[in-house]
Amino acid sequence: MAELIRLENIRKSYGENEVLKNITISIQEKEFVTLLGPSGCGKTTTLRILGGFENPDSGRILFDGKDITNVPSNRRNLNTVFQNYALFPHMTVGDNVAFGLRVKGMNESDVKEKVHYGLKLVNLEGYENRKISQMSGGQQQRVAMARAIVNEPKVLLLDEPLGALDLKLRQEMQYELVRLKHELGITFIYVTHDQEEALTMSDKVIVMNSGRIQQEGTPEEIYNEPENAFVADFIGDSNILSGKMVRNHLVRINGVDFPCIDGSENGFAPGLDVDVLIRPEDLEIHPAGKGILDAKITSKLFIGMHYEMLAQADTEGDFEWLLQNYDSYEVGSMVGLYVRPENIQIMHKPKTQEEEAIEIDI
Amino acid sequence: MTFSKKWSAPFIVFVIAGTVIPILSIAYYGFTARGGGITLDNITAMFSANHMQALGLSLLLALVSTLVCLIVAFPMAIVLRDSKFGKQGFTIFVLILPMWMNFLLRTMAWQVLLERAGVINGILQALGLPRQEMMNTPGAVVLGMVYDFLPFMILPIYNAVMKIDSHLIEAAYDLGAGKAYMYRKVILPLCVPGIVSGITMVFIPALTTFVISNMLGGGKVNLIGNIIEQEFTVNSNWYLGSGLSLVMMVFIIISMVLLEKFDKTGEGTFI
Repeated sequence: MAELIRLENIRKSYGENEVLKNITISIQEKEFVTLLGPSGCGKTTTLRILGGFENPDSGRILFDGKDITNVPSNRRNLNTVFQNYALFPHMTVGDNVAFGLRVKGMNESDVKEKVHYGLKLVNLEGYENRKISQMSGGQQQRVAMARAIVNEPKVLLLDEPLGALDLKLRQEMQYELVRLKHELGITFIYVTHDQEEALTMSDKVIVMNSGRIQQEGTPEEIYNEPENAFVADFIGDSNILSGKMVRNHLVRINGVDFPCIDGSENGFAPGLDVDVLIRPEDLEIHPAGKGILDAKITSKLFIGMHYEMLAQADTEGDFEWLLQNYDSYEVGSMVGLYVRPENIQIMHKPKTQEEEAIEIDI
Repeated sequence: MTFSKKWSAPFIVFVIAGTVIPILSIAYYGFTARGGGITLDNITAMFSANHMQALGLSLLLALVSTLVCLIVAFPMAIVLRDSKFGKQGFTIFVLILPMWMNFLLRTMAWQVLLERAGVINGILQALGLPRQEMMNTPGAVVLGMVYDFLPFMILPIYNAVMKIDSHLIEAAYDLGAGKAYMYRKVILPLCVPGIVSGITMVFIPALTTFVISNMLGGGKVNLIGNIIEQEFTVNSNWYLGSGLSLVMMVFIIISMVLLEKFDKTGEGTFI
């Protein structure tokens, strides 16, 4: 795969507010890349800079090896699906989809054919003459997709396109988007604050916070090997604790030693203060005394697929462990908790505030 | 009786006293001969040579001033849209400020400016330039119309332009449109309701005005409004005045219906 887009040292401020602090991103051809982060992290600004709606204060944008930093949006070979769809209310569905084709001066019979093809791709065959106001939210979303893809862009930019849809429709559209991406064979750059969307659809996830990239990698890497507490906390449920490396492959958390697989060979020397991530589904529940530590179940919720429980351990520090298990354990019962060494993710302590875990309202 | 029905009573009285009764009495006079009896003479009188000439001139001047208002208002609304947020309100305030002054005073001010010995000629003289005869010309009447009615064009168009979602403009550029194409296909069509109501609010009062033509035309520019006014005041012929008024009313309704055809959303018109 060849590199298609490169954002190099992009900075952007609005007055005093520094939105992007030196962002460098490389995007391969035919990749599905997701920019993921809480609101205000700079993901939408990054997308708008790519689309040509904002100019970076410094840095440059390379597209297919060419510098397009100063190329206006109407001469960039990419199309955007806007968050609020931005469909032209005074035109029919067909005229909306045909807009980009007519700009190019394509003859009407070809336009008609293309519009038909575009609407068929998004399962809206025969809707050409409908008014935009007659379409539901999900249908408008599809029209916006069709309007963008009939232009055969090399890259499709999607700014939280599923944000306004209800849960069921959103899940359906996720499959639809992945299908479209495979059918069209083009690059998708997707912006969202929804970690589930990011994990299910992407080839690569770029996690952003406060205008900086926190981590980039495959969904599996982001989930299993987060590099700092922010990423660990933002993606999925987590237990994040402070720990200290006792020696290679042994970390002490709240006075209890846990075997792990990290050591000085990957930068975690004995004596180092670290953050430790243990996913709730990785905490195995054994009879009391048979695990690494004993804890008392303090609450229990039935989530559907599994039970979610909180357990208070009788150790130093006052930490409540979040557990997810298919089996139910009564509140008040004592259990033994065990974690496999490979399921303990050791992370460096945050160097800056934006690498710290935050409280997120979703 | 529901709440809204109960409180609508004063408005119904107002509509009956202010609209229905006057129109009925105009219709009565319009179809009545001076000596009594039903006649169509007052209506057909519109087609006499001097009446047609006045109507033609009225149409021409109203069209010209509507066009001038449109040419001034539309670009201005666009400029205002792009300007900084705080400035917009202030600019609009300054533009419609004259509206709060009495209409007669505003028109009289132009008399003082345009007169033979008026302010403009004074300046021209001081610069060593020849005096201009500006009063009592169709140009002076158009100037007065534009000055008096311009805010009625600006406000609806400004409202329409401000309502346009900036994402639509970005979407047009994103799809490859140049600036001219974007304006033609996105901004202009979305302004149509504003333009239509602007035209309605300028063209109709301009078509029927008699005060502006009296004050700036000095009896030399005879519009249909002046003729109707004279029938009521100078000649005390309410029958002919009412007949001509009825024809004008039909004329106005026709032009509003025609305008409505352009406004598919139905937001801008009053029919």
